[in-house]
Amino acid sequence: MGPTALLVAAQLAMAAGEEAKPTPLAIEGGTVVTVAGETIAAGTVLVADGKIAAVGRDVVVPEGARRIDATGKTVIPGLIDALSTLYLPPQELAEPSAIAPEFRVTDGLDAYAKDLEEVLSYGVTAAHVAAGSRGLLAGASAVVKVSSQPGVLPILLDTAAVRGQIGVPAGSTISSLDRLGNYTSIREALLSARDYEWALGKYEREFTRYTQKTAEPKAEEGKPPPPPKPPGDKPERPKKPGPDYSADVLLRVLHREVPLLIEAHRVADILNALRLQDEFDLRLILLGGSEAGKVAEEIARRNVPVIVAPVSLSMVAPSKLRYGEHSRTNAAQLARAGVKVALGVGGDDPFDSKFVRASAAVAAEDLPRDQALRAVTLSAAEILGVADHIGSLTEGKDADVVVVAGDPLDVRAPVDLVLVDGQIAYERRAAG
Amino acid sequence: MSTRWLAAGTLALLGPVALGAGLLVRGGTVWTGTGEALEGGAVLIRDGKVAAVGRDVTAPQGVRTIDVTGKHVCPGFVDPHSSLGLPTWEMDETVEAVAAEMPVDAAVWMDRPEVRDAVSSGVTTLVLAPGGANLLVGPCPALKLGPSPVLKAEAAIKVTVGPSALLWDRKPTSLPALLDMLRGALSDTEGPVGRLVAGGAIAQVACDGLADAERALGLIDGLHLKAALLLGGAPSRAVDLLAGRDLPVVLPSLALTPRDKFLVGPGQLAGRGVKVAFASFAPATQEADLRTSAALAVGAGMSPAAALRALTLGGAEAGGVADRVGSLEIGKDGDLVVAAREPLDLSGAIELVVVDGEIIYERVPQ
Repeated sequence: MGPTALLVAAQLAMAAGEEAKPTPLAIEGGTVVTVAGETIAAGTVLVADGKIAAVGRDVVVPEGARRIDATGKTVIPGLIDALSTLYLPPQELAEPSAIAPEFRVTDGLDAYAKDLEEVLSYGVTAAHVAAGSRGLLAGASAVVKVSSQPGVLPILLDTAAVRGQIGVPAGSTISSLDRLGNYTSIREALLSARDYEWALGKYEREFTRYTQKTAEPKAEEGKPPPPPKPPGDKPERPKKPGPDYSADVLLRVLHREVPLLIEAHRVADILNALRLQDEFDLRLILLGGSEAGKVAEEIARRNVPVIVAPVSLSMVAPSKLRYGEHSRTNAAQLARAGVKVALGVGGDDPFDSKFVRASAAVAAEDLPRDQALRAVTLSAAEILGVADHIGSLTEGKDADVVVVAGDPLDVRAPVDLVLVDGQIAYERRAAG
Repeated sequence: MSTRWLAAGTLALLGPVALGAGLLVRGGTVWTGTGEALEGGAVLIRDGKVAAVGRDVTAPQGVRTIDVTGKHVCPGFVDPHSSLGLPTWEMDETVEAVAAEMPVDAAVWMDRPEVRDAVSSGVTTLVLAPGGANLLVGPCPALKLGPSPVLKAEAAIKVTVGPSALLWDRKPTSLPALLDMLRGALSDTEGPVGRLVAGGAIAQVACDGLADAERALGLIDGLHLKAALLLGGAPSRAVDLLAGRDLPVVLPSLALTPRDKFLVGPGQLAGRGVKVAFASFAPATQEADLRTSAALAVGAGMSPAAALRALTLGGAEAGGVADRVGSLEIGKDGDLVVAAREPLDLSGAIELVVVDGEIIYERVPQ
C-alpha cells in the first residue's frame, strides 16, 4: 500500500467514526535526515500502522494524529549495529564446533535479555547478531529489531548470512599456520558441499534411469498386456547420499542465495577471504577488517562490502592481537576506494551495541559525515539484505525513527525519542 | 639515565619540530580549561610556556603562526593514572607490600605504538602509577609526552585501600592490618613513603566500592594528606560521600564500565561540585578513551564545561601538577590540542598536539 492510500484509508476510517487502529504519529519541525534522499529542513515524518506513511515538507497530518514537535532537533532512521551480541546469552559465544554452518543464531537468542532498554535509549533499533559461535563456520547470522518488551524478539531476517572467520584467535594467540588452516578448512567445506551437490545430482540422474528401467511396462489400449520383465534382470537401486545439513546451507551460499560473512582482521586473512570469493563466486561480506584499509583496492575491485567492527577500541575491550594493526581510519580508506561500508560496535557484551553513534562519530573523523551516518543505517541495511524494511526514512519502510537533540554524530547530544515499528520505545525524561 | 632514554625515544618517535622563538596558534575558538571559550582567540607560546591568551594577541617577530580558523583549541589532556608503556609484568610488583622506593620510570618503555596513540588522542601529560597489588607504590612520576618528559619525578604515591592489596602469602592479609601499615608508613617522615608525602607528592588513594571509599577518606582526613581518590565501583553511590570535599576524584575510563549507571556518575559528581578527572589505567584501557569517556559522560548528563575540565585541569589536579599543566593560562606549560570540532565532539579529529611549545603531532588528512 502506498503512502497516499494509507493516508486516505486513515482519513476514511476517521470519517466513518471508526476507532482507528493505532493513532498516527507526526514528528514535525525537525531536520529530517532521510539518508536515502535529501535532508529536509523543518520536515515532517508521518507514521501510521508501524510504517512510515509520509516524509516531506508539506505532509498533510491527519486529524487526530499525535503530533510531536522536533523543532531544532534532528530526525534520523533507527541506527543499526552491524555486529552485535544483542539477545545472546554469553554461553552462545563459546560454541566450539568448528564447521557448523547449519547452526542458526536465532535458536540461541534470549527474548528476555536485559540491557535492551539501555541500547534503545541510544537510538539503536536493529542489530545484526552474528556471534553465535567462535567456530570457523559458525552458522547463520540474523537481523533483529530491538524491543523493550520482555518476551518479544522481533526477527527481521533469520538468515542474513553464514558467518565464518579466518585468523581470529579464540584465546590469546593464533599461529600463521592456524590462520592458513582456517582458510583451508572453510575452502574444503565449500568444496565438499559442491561434491555433495554433485553426488545428489548423480543420484537423481541414476534414480530417474532406474525408475525408467524398472517401470513395469503398461498395457496399451487394445493390445494384450506385455510379458512381465524377467526377474534377476532388475538394475540395482541407486543409493541416495545421506542428509548433509551443513552442505545444504553451504549450497545456498554457493548459489548466492545467502552471503558468506567472513570475519578477518589482518591483511593475509582478508586476502584469503577474497580468494574464496574468487574461487567460488559467492556473495562475500567481510567482517571486522581491522587492516582492510591497506587492501581497499583489492576489496573494491571485487565489489565486496565490509562491516568494519570494531571502529574504535575505546568502546570495546581492546585486544591488539585479535585486531592486528587496528586503524580508526579504516572505514574512510575503504569508502574512498569505493567499498560499501557498514559499522559495527563489535563488543562482547550485548549492551555494547549502544555505541553505534559513538562508532559512527569516530569514523566521521575521516569519513564524510553523510557517509558515516549512512554506514550505521542504509548501508548496513543494504549489506545485510534488509533495506526494503529499514535503514532510511522512506515511505513504506518500518517506522524506526530516532529524534536526536542535536547533531546525530555528536554523542554529547542526547537521544530524545525512539520509535520501533511506529511504537514509542524510548522517550527521554526531562532533565532533573 | 632512564629519563634520558625516554627523551631519546620520544624524540625519535615523534620527531618534534623545533620552533625556537615560539608559536602562535590563532583564529580558533580557545577553550582555556578554566571555563572560558574565546571565539577567534589566540594562544602565544614562548620558551615552552603560555605567554598570552586572548583575542588581540599578535605574533612577535620570528614566531611561527598557525591559523586554525574554524577549529578549536584546548589544553592538552592529562591522564592522572596510567601505566602506559610499562610492560605488563612490571605493573604488579608483589614481593614487597610497600614498594615506595621502586623507581617507576625505570620500567618505562616509550618506543611503543600506544604512546603514539596517546599523543594523537590529545594526551600530553600522564602520571605513571603501576602496582594495584601493593599498598604503596612510588614515587610515581608525572611525564610529558614531549621532548622533556619528566614534569615532576615525585609527583604522586599510589596508596591502595581495599582487598586488591591483600595477598595471602605476605603481610597484610586483612584490612585492619593494611590500614595500620598504611598509617605507619605514611606518617613516618624518616621512611621513604613519609619523605615523599612530606616532599609534596600527592597521595592517589585507590578504593573500590563505598566501604573502601569511606576507609580511604578516613585515612586522608586522619593524616591530613594531600590526596586524590581513585574511585572504583559505581560513582553514583558515592556522590553524597564526596560532595562538598575539596578532593579530586579520579574515575576509570568509561570504556571499562560503559553501563548507564556508571556513565551518569561523572555528571552527578561534578554537579555537586566534586573535582572529577578521568584516568585510563592504561593499558587496561587506552589514553584515547579519556576523550570518549568525557563525551559519553556529557551524553549522560554531565555539563560540557565540567567534562572538558575533567580531561584537563581535573587530571592535572589529581596528578598534583595543576601548577604546570591543565589550563591555558599565562605561565603554564605550552601544551595544547587543536581539534577540528569542539574538543569533546568525537566526530572531530585531533589535528595538532603541542607540548612545551613544540608540535609533537600533526594529523595527516586521510
